[in-house]
Amino acid sequence: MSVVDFVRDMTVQVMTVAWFVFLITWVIGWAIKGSPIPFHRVKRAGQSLVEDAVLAAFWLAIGTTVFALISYIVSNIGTGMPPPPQPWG
Amino acid sequence: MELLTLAVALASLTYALGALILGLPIPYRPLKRWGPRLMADAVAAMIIVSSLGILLWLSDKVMEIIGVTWGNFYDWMTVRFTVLLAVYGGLQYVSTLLRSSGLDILLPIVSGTVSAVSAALTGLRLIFFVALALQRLRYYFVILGSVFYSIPFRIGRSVGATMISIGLVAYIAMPALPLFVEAFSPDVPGFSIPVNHTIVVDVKDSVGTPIPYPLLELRDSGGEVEGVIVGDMYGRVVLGGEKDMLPPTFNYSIRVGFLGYYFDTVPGFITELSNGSTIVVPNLVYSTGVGVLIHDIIMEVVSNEPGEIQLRAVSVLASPEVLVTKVAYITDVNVHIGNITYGCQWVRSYWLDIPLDTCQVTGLEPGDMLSIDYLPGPYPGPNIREKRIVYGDSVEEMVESLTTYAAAVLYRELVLPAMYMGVVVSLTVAAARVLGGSIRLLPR
Repeated sequence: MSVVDFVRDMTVQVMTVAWFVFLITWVIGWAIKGSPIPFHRVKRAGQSLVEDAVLAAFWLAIGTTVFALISYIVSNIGTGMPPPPQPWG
Repeated sequence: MELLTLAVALASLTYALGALILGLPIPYRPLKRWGPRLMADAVAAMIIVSSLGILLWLSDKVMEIIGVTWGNFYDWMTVRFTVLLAVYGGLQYVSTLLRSSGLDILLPIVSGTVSAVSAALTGLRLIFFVALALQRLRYYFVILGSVFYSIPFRIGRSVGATMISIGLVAYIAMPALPLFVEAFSPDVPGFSIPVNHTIVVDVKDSVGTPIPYPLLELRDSGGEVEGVIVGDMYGRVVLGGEKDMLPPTFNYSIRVGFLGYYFDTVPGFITELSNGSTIVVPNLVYSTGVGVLIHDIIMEVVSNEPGEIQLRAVSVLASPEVLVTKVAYITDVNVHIGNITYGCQWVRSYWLDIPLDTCQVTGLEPGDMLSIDYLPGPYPGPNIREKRIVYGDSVEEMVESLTTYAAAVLYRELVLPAMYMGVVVSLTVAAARVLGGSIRLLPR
């Protein structure tokens, strides 16, 4: 496994974790926001967790798409020219 | 290309980590702040990686616009090296000249100039290697820099930014060194080493036998001794070359010191045109350790062999004088006039650490045959410190030229390139800062 593959695998794992974390944060955020605790500060923390989670999910979706595209282009620039056509027959 | 892919992959990882941190369910601000920061870093890294080709092309274009090329830079460096090496060689020659001329007092000036030149050579060599590395490794600098730049958590951001800016800015700025140096250099007066003649003369006795280790005494028109030079065992005397600083034109009257006496010679002078000539000592007949000095008497040389000298008196003038002088350790000396043995009274004397015995022969009549036979031996060289010729004007001229040149070399070949390297480093650091980080040259 090359360094590039290792970094790519790690990126995929981090992204997967990030999606799970987004879900957990979103759930926790709503749970805190909807909890029967009459403290404004706690409720605001819940609200900010939800906002952060949504933002993170948005940027994750956009970013990973764009980065994957660039990564794809970069890794294709380096490929050699196709072999010249061979005479038929 | 592998490195570029790695840089992109690292930027993606940074971005994913940023999103992960942003989405963490921990409401701790300092930690959360790293999320957007990492995402922004990743985007910046991606922009740099994507535009590397454009940046490299742009830097090449800027070089084209300024009108500098690496080829010209290397040509300029080669010329500088050649000039400095030639000057270095010239200075070594001058110091040899000064040492042999007894002008040791001027040696510090020359060695100061030598130090300046060798420092300039070292500096230029350093710049040459830096430039070579910069030119050859430019792409590695830029691509490796972008890899460092993309590492998450800003670990290699400063190093990466610096490497990228080295590959872009220093690469353009370095070949412009000749333009900078030429723009600010003063008009350096050419370094002149006085043109020196080399004059070789052979000193011989009246019958053409070489006189070993002749002491040549040279006087100027005022009668002042300008030089005392000892020849080699074959009677060859070398003036100029590496040992003397002769004036462009000169006419020194000469005498030859030998066997304790100073003889007039034919010709009696040496000029700048005397190279290859023979100086004859007419009053002397010499053979292997024994010399016959003749004054006011005309004698014909019958035989002049090692161990035997035979002379016949032809005519006698007002106060005839014949002296037989030998080196003290020449033994079995018999002096005859005709067939009669002459009873010599040997008088011992010392001349420049050479022990000499002299016998005066009197009573010679025209037609008498004077013969001396002995066991031949070598003649030792006189123990004397030579006084080499140093022409005053050429020394003054040389010292002045040397000091001016040393200052000019220091300024032009060392100070200006060093200043320019400082400018290049500042530009590189500034560019690295623009890219988002730089090595810190000074502690805050």
